[in-house]
Amino acid sequence: MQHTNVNQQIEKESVFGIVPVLKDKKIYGFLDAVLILSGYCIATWSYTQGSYLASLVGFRQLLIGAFLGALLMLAIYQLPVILSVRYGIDIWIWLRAVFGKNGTAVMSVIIILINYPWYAVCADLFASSMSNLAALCGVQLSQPTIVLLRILCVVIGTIIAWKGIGAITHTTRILVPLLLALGVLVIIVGFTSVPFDVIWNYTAKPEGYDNSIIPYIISIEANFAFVITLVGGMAEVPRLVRTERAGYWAGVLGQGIAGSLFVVVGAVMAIAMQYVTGKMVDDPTVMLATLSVPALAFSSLLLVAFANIGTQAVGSYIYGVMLKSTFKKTSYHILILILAAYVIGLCIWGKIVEYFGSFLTISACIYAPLAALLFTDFFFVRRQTLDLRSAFDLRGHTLYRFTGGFNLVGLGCVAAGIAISLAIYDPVNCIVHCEPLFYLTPTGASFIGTGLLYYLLSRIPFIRRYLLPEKAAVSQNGR
Amino acid sequence: MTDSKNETRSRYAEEVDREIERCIDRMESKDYTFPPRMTRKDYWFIGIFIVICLAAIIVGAWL
Repeated sequence: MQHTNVNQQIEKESVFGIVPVLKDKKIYGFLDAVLILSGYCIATWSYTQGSYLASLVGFRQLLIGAFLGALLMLAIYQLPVILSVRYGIDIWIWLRAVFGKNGTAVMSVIIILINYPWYAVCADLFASSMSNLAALCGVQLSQPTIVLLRILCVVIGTIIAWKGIGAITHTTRILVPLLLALGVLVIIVGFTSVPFDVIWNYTAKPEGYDNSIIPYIISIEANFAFVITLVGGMAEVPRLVRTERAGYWAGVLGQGIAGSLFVVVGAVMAIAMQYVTGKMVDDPTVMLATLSVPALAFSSLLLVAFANIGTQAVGSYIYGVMLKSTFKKTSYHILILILAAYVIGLCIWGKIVEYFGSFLTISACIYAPLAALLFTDFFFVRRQTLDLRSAFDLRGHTLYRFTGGFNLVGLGCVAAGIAISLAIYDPVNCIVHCEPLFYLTPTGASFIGTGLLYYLLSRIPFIRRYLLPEKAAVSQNGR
Repeated sequence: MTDSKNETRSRYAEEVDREIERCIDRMESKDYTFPPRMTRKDYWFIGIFIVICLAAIIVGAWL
């Protein structure tokens, strides 16, 4: 009975979650939205990002890239969020005009497939913390045990998500303060245990690059790729915000400052650890044990354990609900089990952190074209008007069916955007193929290239007629 | 059990379609006021903000 009740709750959430939020139902001002969005983008994987950046560039360049790189990318790709404030809809409803109904379903599944490995990073951090703490107690854990610990994180997170919305709400209320507390601890210990100028004057010594600017561009790319992964869920909170200005800036500043702050904290930790031990470490438990008293490391275990399990639970829930809106006939519980199996497979493979930089750029290969198409379509092609009834696929309104539910032009542009990114840079082997375009970063070049291509195609008359069937129909409201 | 699940599903689908239609009708009505929009000044400010961020990133290459 409880099983059915949770499934029904999720079903209601996934279907009613798409209903437009009218002006009188909007509940958030700028401050509420900033706080929620700040919490949404904080996770322990920020430390992994910080440590990765510290291996590429010095501290001052890292500060610029982490904050201003993130803010730049957010300021551009978050602009279409004003449609969510205006019409009270998610961007995935607008994207049905860009990809078609079935095309949008395919894209949302692809997004989940490439985004979900973040939870393997999370599980790896959980296992690594446990293993390092065991080592502090003189116990060396075997590799199979470490793999089992990763799986344990996934299993516990999935169990929490299994219980549905109530359990997730309680989890997030504990999770965000825990993560903030951990971040504060790391900042205090990091800056008090090594001289400030050691961190401020830190320079990286990346190897294997002929041109010294390449590591800097890779770090900017990593920052772009890190924040662009937020595009899929960017409208959930702004739908509920009272003004377009507040909805936009809450996303840019909340995610750009809070998320970047924790990345910088991770970098400070890694730099401090390298100074003291000669080795870069992104595990806050090890750092706290090494740089302060071991008792603090044990108490940080609780923070890290809960944080990673909590993040796992929230991710399982969010993506379970997203998949539920696409696969309406499949039980929510089955969907989160499939997600758990996927991430457990990655945990067993065990190399997600080793290939972290590659993973960032590969995921950005999809996100950059998606963000570009939304931006270009909203401002320059459809010019802020949409046939809402067709976008919601209401009975008798079929303008956005395109070709069997697929907008071939939109999907073709995604493929082109991926090709642009890979033509410039091989993220797996870290080889630059086209240096002039590499200066735009692969994510930047893919965003610009996809947007331009889509716009130019929309200027060709027969393609324009295909893309904009609503021009022949009654235009939608909002003006 | 399957028939009752299917019934629940189509009941939700019909209910949500009715609710969506109602919301769109409200938005199309003359007395509906949309949330305050971004102004020209907002877009100018965003443009300047983007230029400053970009300039700082370019300068950062020489640090």
